Amino acid sequence: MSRKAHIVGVGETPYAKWGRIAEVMQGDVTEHALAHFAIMKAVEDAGLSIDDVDGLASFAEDRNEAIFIAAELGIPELRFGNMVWMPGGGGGCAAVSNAAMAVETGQAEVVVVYRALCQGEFMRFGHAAELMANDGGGAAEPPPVSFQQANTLMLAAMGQVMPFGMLTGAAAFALPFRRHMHKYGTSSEHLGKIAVTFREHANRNPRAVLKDKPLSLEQHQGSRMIADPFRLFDCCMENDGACAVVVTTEERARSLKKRPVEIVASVQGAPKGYSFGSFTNANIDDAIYATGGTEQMANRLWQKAGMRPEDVDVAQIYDHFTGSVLMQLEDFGFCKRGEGGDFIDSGALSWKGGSLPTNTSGGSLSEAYMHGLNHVLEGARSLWGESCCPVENANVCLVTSAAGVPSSALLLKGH
Amino acid sequence: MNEQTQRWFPNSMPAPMVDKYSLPWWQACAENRMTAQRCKSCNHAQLPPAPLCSECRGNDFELTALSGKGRLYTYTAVHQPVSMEQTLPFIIAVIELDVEGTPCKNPVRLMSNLVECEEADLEIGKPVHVVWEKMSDMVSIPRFKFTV
Ligand SMILES: [Zn+2]
Repeated sequence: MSRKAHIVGVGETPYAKWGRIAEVMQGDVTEHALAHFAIMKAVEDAGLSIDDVDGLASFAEDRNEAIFIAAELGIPELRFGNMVWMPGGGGGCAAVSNAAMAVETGQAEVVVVYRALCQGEFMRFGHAAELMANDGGGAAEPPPVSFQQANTLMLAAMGQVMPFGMLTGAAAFALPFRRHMHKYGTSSEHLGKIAVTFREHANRNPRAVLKDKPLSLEQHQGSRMIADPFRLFDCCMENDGACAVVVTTEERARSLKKRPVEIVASVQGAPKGYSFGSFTNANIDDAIYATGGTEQMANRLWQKAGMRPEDVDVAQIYDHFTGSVLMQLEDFGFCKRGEGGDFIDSGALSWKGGSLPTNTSGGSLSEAYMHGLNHVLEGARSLWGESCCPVENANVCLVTSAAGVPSSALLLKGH
Repeated sequence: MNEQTQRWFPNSMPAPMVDKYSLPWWQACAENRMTAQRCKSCNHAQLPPAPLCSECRGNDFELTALSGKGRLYTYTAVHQPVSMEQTLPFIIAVIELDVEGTPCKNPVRLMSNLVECEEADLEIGKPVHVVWEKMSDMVSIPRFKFTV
């Protein structure tokens, strides 16, 4: 019998705007309690119990280490605990990939991939500057400017760019997209259409943080600038919540509640010199600069799966910023390099008749920012027919993690 | 006012965080010298300073003098403050620096800022030159201006 890895259940907490999780969870909750909640929901969705779980995997510097989550949940024996090195949102699909490797090699039987993120309890990602400012901790007079010691490789790399104000994702990922605009004539309207389409999807999704907020292209174009060309509605939200995905073998999956979703192929990847992506990689090859940096990885994914872009029925593309969606569509070969704008104009991304219905839950822009693990949940749901924006007869789904940083991706197939 | 003493950013901007590989480059900045790391084995020039040459993995470097001239490679106008008392928007720019006399497989680009320019003037490819902002006796930060 096959040990091929399959997704058999998904679950999440209610999602909330940063700082508002207490309102939707009926009480004050900690980030790791959100992780417990999502893991238990996913296990229940699979028709399993916590006693069946023997592996945990996460990513993005998750503060909720597997050893403590396992102890708190009373997992009988933790046989696999793993966190991905691809940074931030680049690691979501990679965490699922690692879970798949664990079950396929027999290290574990049932691995839950989770991501808990409480920007209300901890730092808001858009406000990293507050930690790094040279303000003497709020002293009346800032201290004289002197060199600080970088004690980690991340701080050494960021220490080279932070003095120029490079501290937010919006600024970092605006740089390659501005060059894309220069090279190919892509525009803010193209970005607006992405944001509006994903919002239309979220408006049908009761889980979406922005479910009750319609968005028009005019509102997008009138929204305040964050880091040119990214306006407010080009940027993902800052949210509190958690979500989880259960991975097990085909053999085990057969006796469970749901039709298993096969993890056909998975990849991780970073081009030469990519380091912390657009934050720090000003010196990468010009041919790669104005892209999502995921083309090499995408080519490997198609090759491993024996599939082509035309085989994909529905896609969940990481959307920390609209521009990154457009460049990933080119990286993955859904259109030619530089033609992402035309592809958007064709209405391709809409669940209603688009050639590539994308982010059918609303994504990070409009459902929730869970570092892209919620894209994996929606990928499975879109193949189970459980999406709020169902795509008829969808059998193959592409899920990607953050572009512009070392990244990862999955191809999922329904049964 | 002399360019050497002009200020564009407040002291509360994040200070450079350095390690043993980047400190010499920042010390050259403090003397208003724009440099790149040049590999003594293969002559490749690179930034940011790193422990190894990206082309031959050599680890013996010298700092080679650059003119501080280059072109605007890409940019973003940031409309959210990084520190208090900051003028908005401010421009984060990637500058492609001129490197003379060294075979350079990779470009030598530097993340920096463009100062004293209107958003309407921003145009990729336009020539720029370095200007130095003395933040303290120890720290000078390279910023760039369009070369008219
Ligand atoms: Zn060398």
